[in-house]
Formats: sequence, C-alpha cells, structure tokens
Amino acid sequence: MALTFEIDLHKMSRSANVVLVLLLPVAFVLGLKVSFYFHFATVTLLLMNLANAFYLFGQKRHTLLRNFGILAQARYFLESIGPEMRQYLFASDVEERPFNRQERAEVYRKAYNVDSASSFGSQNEFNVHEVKIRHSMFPVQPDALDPFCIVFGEERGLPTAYTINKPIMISAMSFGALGENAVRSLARGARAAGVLMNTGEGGFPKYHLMEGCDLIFQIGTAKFGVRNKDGTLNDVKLRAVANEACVKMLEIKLSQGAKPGKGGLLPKEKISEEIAELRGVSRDEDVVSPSGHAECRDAASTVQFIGHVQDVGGLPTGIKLCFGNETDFRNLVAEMKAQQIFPDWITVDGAEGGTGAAPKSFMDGVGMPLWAGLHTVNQILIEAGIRDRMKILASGKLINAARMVTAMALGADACYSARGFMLALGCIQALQCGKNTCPIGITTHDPDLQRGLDIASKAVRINHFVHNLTHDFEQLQAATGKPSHRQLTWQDLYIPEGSILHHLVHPHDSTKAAS
Amino acid sequence: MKQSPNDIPNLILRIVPAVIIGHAAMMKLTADPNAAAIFKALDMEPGGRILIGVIELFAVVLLLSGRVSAWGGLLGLGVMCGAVIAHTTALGFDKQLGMLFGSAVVSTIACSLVLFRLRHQVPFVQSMFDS
Repeated sequence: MALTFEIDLHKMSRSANVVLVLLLPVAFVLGLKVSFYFHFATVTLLLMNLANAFYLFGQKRHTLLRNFGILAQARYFLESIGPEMRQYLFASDVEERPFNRQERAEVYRKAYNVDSASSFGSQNEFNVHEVKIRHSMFPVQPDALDPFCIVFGEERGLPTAYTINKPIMISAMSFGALGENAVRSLARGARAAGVLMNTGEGGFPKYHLMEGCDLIFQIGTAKFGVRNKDGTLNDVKLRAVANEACVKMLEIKLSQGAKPGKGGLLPKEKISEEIAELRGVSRDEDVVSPSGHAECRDAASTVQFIGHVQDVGGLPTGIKLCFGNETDFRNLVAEMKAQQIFPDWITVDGAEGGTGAAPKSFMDGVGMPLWAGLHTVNQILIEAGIRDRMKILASGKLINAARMVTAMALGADACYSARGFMLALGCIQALQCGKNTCPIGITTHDPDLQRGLDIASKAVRINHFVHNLTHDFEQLQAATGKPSHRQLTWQDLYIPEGSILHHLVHPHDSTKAAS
Repeated sequence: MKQSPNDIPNLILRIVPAVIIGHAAMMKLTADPNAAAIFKALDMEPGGRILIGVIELFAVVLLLSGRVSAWGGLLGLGVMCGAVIAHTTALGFDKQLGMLFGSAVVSTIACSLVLFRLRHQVPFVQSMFDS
C-alpha cells in the first residue's frame, strides 16, 4: 500500500491558532507559580494573540490572514524575500530580467578593470531569435580602424558643433531619479573618460555641473528648469542654461522607452526639499510630467518647436523618442523636409524600460523594441533622403559591445546607456528604483544609503567601464572587417528567421509582411 | 500616509515613554535599592533586573532614533506589559508602586500609539492596517 503524506495547511493553521491561545494561560501560570521569567513568554504570546485575533476577526483586507491567521504571515514574508532568494540562490546565470547575472557580471568586470574572458563556451541559448554579428574572413587590424568621430551640428554648420570620440554616452538620468552621489560619481567618471552625460529632465543640473563634465541638457515635457508657469518654454531660462560652459548640446524629449506616450514620473517618496525647489513642485504628490510638450500639438508645431529651441539655445539640438506610430513619424519627417528644419540627431529609445519609475502597463505593453524601432527610423530617414541631415543615437540595454555594434549596424551613429553605467556604479538590480530604498544608494536620496557610494572610487569605475567597453567595441568592429563604424549595415548581422527583425530587413522573404 | 516621527504629536509620544522607561532603566542598572527590592520580590535579582534594564535601555534608544521608533514602541510595549503583569500579580499598587504602575500604563499606551502611528516602519504591523 502506498504511503502518502499530505500537509493540510488549513488544519495546520487552525491547530496553530488554538495552540497559540492555549499557550498563553500556560505561560501565565508558569510565570506565577514557577518563575517570573516565564512572563517573557506570556507577554510575547499576548501580543501574538492580539495580532492573530486582529488578523482573523478584525481586518478584512487580506483574505489569507483572515482565513489562516498569523501563520499566513509566513507566506507574505517568503514572498517579500522572493526576489532576493531567486537572485542569489535559484535563478540561473542567464534567466533574470532585465539583465541576467552574466550580463551584469560583464559590466562589473569592465568597471573593476579585470579580465573578462570566459571559459568552456557560451551560456547563451542560440535559438531562432538570437541576433549575432557576422565576422569577416578578413578582419581589420585594430590599429588600422578609423578613429571614432561624430560631430553633432555639423550639418547646420554650427560654430558650437560638438565632437564625440567615444561610441558611448551616459543616457538621461535626472537628479531626482538618481541621488546626489550617483550623479556626481557619473559626472566625475564621465569627465575622466571623456564622454558626454545627459542631465535628464530634472531641472537645473546643479550636481551634474559640479564635476565639470560635458553635458547634454534634456528638456522634458514638463520643462523642469526652463519652464513658464503654463508649462511652455521659458526662452530666458533656456538661454541661461545653454550658456553654462559645460552644457554642449540640448535634447528635447518627446517620449521615452520606459513609458512611451506618457510623461516622466517621480514618486513622492523621492522628492526631497531640494528636488522640489529645483523643479518647482510639491512634495506631497507624485510629479507626473505631461505626456507631450505644450507647444507640440502636431507634426508642424513640433518641428517649429525644434527649430525654436535650436535658435534660442544656439547649440546642437536633438530629439529623443521611443518609436511608436509609424504614420506620425513619417508625418514628422515630411514636415522637417517641408520646413527645412532638422534636429541634429534623433535618439531612438527602445521600449524595454529604463531607470525611471513607470506604470507597468506602459513599461511592458507600449512602444517598439530598440532593434525594430531603430531599423525603421533609419529606413524612413533614408527613404526620405534626409539621413545625412542628422545623426541617430540608440538607447536601450546597450550595456555591452555586441549590442552596440548591432545598434550601429541597424543605423545608429553612437550609443547611449543608462543602466550600464548604473551597473558600473555597483547596481545590484534590486528593482527598487522608484521606492527611494536603493540599497546601493544610486536611486535614493536617503543620506544613510548614499553614504556607501563613494564618489571618487565610483568615478574610477565609470572611467574603466568606458575604456573597456570602447576597447571591446573596437575589437568587434575590427572583426567585421569594417574600418569605420559608419560602414556597418544590417548585412553585418546574422538575423535568424525567427527574429522579428528578420521580417523588417527582409520584407519580401516574409509571408506575414507580404500578406 | 506615512507620518514623520518628528511631527510634534509623534515627538511627544516618543519622548514621554522614553523618559519613563529611561528612568526605570537607570534605576535598574544602577542597582537602586527600590529596584533591587522589587526584583527580589519577583525572585529575579540581580539577573532579571539587569536583563530588563538593558532591554529597556535598548527600547529607549530605538524610541529616540526616529527611523526605527516603532520598533522601540513594540519593545517598550512588551516590557511595559511585563511591568503591568508584575504589579497585578505580585507587586501590588501601594504608594510608590502605584505610581510605577501608573507610569507603566502611560508608557504602554504611548508605545502602542507610537507603534500604530509609525507603523510603516514595521512591515507586519503596517500590513495589518494598510492595504
């Protein structure tokens, strides 16, 4: 006869609840008759019984607690430590999201400046979705590569045109989303590494400016730092920001990958007095930026607004968007041609989420992923004959050289990364960016948590990360046999049929696309 | 909504039991004759007196910390419940003992209020009242 053993949790909890009640008088009597020390148990049991009675008969919010009492707290406790348990103990090296342990470790090694060689084969599963780089039979010697050089604003002949010599830049992260120490560590590291840093939309970039690195000032839909009371652009304030010596370029954020179609979001937990002052907002409620610029009602007014910012700022000025509605974008491009006003670059942000807090429905369900969005934007600009009038930047999980080369092969001129740099700062992917409880002190304003984030040593890591990432990028580019990154095309990629990208680059091979 | 531990009502609720419990802890830890007599009556002298004195001191530090005051409230509540039990079962309420009992009751109420008002600091208490 088979011996079976089952745990009836309901019976177990009912028994536990009865035992808990019975133990109380036992402890009390022992405290009276044997030793007063037993009253330690009396008090503990008394408080537990009070809590249990409240769970079972008082509260009505939690069904489990109402049905099972205090034992059900174990379920909530285990659930609360689940993310840590999975990350530390149970999840494999390649299954976590948004970055698996293997991807994070690669960034950490680059930031620590230690050898990143792996042994005994890749841990990736090379299935029908894996996009890979096609190497050449005749690689270029790394020292024969053309130096990386992108000049923003050269198309308009700007005297303030700005040249970058590294393929990576620090993507938009505002003071607000990040704490003071994180911003200053990144800015100091950016200065040492010679890369640009985007300020994000968080108002006057007080802490970004402290370290003297070159900056892109981002104008979000709420225009923090450069706004009139009615939400329109304040030209005087913009001119003052643009006149800051460190501010080299301006970026108008139309939408972002974390929440395409919705404005920025700063939870009230993260609004310190200083942030409230810098942004001119209240501390009592979440700061939700409008979903669009007040000046941008349609394609024509959007292009006019871009031209206006270019005129007022006098700096290279680009736009950032997460690619969504193709007709809207085609209309915008047509309007650029009609008005002969072109942004100096378009940043295509992948819809894979980002550092900022965002409604889950937007983060998961809206916008085109980077590869598809980037390729489509590039193709539309080529078709319109204006690809040479602007640069394309890519952002969205570009934390390693292979993804950067893939982005460039799909049309990008240079890459942005935000989370890559957060990982380089030591981010452990605790997924608490919106709670002001970041254990590493990056996305928090809690002084106790920021205390551990030493600016000087983290800036060194940022410098190492940029150096090693650039080195990897050059090695990969050399392997493709292309002396210049501008020569990379989608034909340098192996794009399997199962990938959505395959249907975009080979529209006639795809029955779905043909139909 | 989360309450600040430094709001005036919360500050008062933290300081009142901290003063009462802190005074009691000092009496115990300095071996005050009255405290020693009480613990002798409970047959806990000197181990119990020192142990409870240390626990009380710890509760005072937590109550005054601000960031974890609710935990101090919980610990203070436990210790003061013990004091109430001691008075009702063994010590009685004569003269000074009655005053000590009154202090214990005041501390119990204040600690309960600290725990309730700053419940966001103690997740399992917060989950009892907030969704």
